[in-house]
Amino acid sequence: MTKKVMIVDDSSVVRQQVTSVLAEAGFGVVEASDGQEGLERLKSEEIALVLCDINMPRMNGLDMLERASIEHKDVPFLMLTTEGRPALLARAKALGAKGWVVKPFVPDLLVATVRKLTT
Amino acid sequence: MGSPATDSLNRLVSRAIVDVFAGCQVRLVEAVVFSILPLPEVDPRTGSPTVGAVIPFSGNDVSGSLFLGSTFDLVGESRPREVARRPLVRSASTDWVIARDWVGELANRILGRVKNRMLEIDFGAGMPSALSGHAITLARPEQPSTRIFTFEANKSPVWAWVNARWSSERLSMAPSGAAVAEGAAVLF
Repeated sequence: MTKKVMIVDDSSVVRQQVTSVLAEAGFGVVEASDGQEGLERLKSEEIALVLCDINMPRMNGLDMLERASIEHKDVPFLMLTTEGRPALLARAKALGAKGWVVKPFVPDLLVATVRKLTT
Repeated sequence: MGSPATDSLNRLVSRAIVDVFAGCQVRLVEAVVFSILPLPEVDPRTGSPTVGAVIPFSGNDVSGSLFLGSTFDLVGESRPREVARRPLVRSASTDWVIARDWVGELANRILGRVKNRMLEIDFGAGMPSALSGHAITLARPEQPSTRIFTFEANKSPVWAWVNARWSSERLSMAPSGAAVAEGAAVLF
């Protein structure tokens, strides 16, 4: 069965890029443009992993992670952001994130990381 | 001639701009021939119009904004190769949305690189506001601290300005390697 990954990012170009890379690697991909939409999608779709930006309108990625850690605690989160500050990584880890990728991502590395977290 | 802190910040921003575009397979060189203000009016029949984005940032020790602008064509060319197989077309309204989206992301990445190298200065970034058109006029920021950067690639200009106010005594650069590097993946 195809595993479904959700990309949550306010940039449509980034979503399209991630979708292209993961689809080529055999994953199904669902898109959401902010944390609010991402949470709604989590209720209606069976998601194996959430790839989540941080700086987004309406609801940012850390707030989405915090909400999801209560309502969808079995779904792993991999943060995908321009930020690389240790304090921010520590906060995401404390909220339950499983990993962190700093943009621009390396396609092969992203696929390998997603595979590891969905196996 | 600025203070050592200002000079460091200028170098940092300049490097971040070049690196972000290099990551998009676009090699920038510093340009002196392009004036940033006023933005040149473009002949809609021949020239590539302007696309730009501004991001505000603020914190206890620093606040201001970053503007990034370039041409519609260069912004389109700088998209990731997985999505750039089809070139953007000026006559398609949806392609303008894509260009504005991507220039906002580029500005976000430049600011992200700067933040990752200034770990002792805590500041947050707002959402990018993007604009586009053939005859854009931008008001020059009044602050003398505004630093303007001009580059070119593929005969297209790239403009950036940083309008920042900060506590210069607190401005120090993070040692390299302190933040997670761009492109790296970390598993917890």
